[in-house]
Amino acid sequence: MSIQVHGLVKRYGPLTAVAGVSFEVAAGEIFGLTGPDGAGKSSLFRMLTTLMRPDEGGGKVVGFDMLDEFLEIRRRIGYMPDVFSLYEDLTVRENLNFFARVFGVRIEDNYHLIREVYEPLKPFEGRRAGHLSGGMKQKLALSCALIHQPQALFLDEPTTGVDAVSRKEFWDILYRIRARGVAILVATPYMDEAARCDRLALMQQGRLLTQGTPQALLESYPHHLYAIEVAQPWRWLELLRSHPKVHRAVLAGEVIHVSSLEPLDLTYMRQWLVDSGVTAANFYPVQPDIEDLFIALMDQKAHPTGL
Amino acid sequence: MRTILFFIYKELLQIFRNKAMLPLLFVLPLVQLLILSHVATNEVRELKLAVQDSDHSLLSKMLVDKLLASGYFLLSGLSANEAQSNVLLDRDEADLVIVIPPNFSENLWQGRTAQVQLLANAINSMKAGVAVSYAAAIVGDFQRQLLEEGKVILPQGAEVACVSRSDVRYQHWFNAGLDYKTFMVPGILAVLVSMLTLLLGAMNVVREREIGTQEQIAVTPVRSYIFVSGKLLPFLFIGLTELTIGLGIAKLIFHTPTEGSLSVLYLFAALTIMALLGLGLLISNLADTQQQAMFVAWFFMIIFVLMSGLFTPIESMPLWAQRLTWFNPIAQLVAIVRLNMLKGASLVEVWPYLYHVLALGLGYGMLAVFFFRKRNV
Repeated sequence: MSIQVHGLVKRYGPLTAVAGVSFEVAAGEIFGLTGPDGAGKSSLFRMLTTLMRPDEGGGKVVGFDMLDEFLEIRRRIGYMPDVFSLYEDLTVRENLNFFARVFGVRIEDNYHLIREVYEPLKPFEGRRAGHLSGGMKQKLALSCALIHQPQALFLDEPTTGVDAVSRKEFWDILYRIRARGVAILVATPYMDEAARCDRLALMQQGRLLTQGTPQALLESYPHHLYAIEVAQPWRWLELLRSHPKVHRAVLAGEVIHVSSLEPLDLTYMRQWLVDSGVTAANFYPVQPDIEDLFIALMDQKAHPTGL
Repeated sequence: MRTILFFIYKELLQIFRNKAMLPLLFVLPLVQLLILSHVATNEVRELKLAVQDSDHSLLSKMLVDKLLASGYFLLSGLSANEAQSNVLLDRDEADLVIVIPPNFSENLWQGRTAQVQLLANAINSMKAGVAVSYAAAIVGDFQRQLLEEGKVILPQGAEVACVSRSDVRYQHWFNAGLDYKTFMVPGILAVLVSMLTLLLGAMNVVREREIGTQEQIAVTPVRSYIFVSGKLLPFLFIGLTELTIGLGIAKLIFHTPTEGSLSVLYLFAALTIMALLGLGLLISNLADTQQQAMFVAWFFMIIFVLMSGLFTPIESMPLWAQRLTWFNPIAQLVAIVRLNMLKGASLVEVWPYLYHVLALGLGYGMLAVFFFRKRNV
């Protein structure tokens, strides 16, 4: 196991940011962490990257003890914080060179590790990091985090503020890094990205609600889910929620996702919609996605009886 | 150890890339040196003198001529009576009024006591004090001159009582002409170099915290003392470069003497700058933004500069204030630079200062590292 932690707790005064988190990440595995803002993801990252000592709990990162051998850990991990934290007044090349030197390596010796990330930046080597686009900045930050051949990579919301094309490219690169046996822990607010991870944990209020492969998590979806395609869907949310069998009705893009604790009769529901004045609506069952699962789990947490 | 060189290299790259930084570092302090050295003076010249001469005699005219010939006074008005004199003082048209009573020369010729009154505008007490003492000295000289030339005959037995024949003459060592610039230039130079290093050192460390790069460095195996030294040492070089340019200006423009050995001067400058950088680091621990760091640094700097002995001698401060200057690296540097440049003090003579500055550097440095560690990791 590349990362193996148990019972991590971090408190800030009366506030408990991380309330007992345990998980493992294997070498060559992408472990995703998703959850709302303030769930404690960044605090968890700061403990794992030895920036902050946990108040309770511990574990091993790349084979070294989090508390006693933090210098060994720092030599062997790469970290991309949630905000761009390279020197904006230094050029692309100067930043990369500086971080290589800090880890005691040379760019030439380790260039093969970053080639696919860094190659698109080559034409801009002399440009100051502050003048790069969001996607370019992110590639530079990843290059700097990879140059010393880390065994584990910690990416805190790496694709925030990056366009869709760059995000896809970024994930292609992550898969190639994974193939080299690097353990990757990635926090992301995007549910589509969460679904791309090998394993995934949903975090809320300092705890991991559940963890597993995205497939297994989706199969654990506790309710029955239906979609309604209708014009101006937001107009009908209140009506749907008033139906006794509807547990939840939320907008999911252009459609309404309706969950129910028991299977709904499609014919009955379609008729009920027409009777209620919702015309030209298309009602059908759908597979839940990560977001649906997350909403269901958060709900269970708030109302453990499922009501 | 090689790592620290990469940090220094990176730091210098950033400093010299910043277009606002270069003029800030090298042009502004030198402009300050050029301007302040001319204006920071206690010398009082061109005092406005009004004359209320009710005697209108040869002797009273000689006395007024002597005052004006001294070069310290400019005749700014004549007054016929006390009321007019007061008006001149009230309107700030006169700094000093000399009142010569009607029987001045008669009293002198007849060997009686002749009186002269000096009225000074004491809104600026220092200026008034200087004006009165200049005038009194000139009047005393006038009296002696009359006696020596035999123009006035003293009555029998009166000689000893009213005129002292002892003649005190001062010889001013190390600054024979009492040139104020000679005294001020080295001190101002010391203060400018100190201010620059303290302020920029403190802000530079906070800068990385502000932009978030400190966290990125913190997850590397680099130890915090390397990081901090890399941030501060460039300012040692910059401070010493600034000192060099300042010394050049002092020599070429102000012809300030450089009696002492330059190696002693640079040794002390380097040690003091390191103490100041330690203090800067200490300050940086109290601040999250460069703005906060600047305010805290200014708080210390104002106190340090005003209590550095640059303008007012430390010896004339109350005892508790004198004790406080022990912790003031700027006071030490001002003293050392003056001793070195004007008096030519050798290393042996400034030995106690060496211990003092070393102790300050170690003290501030250790405190700073202690708090820095407490804050980070």
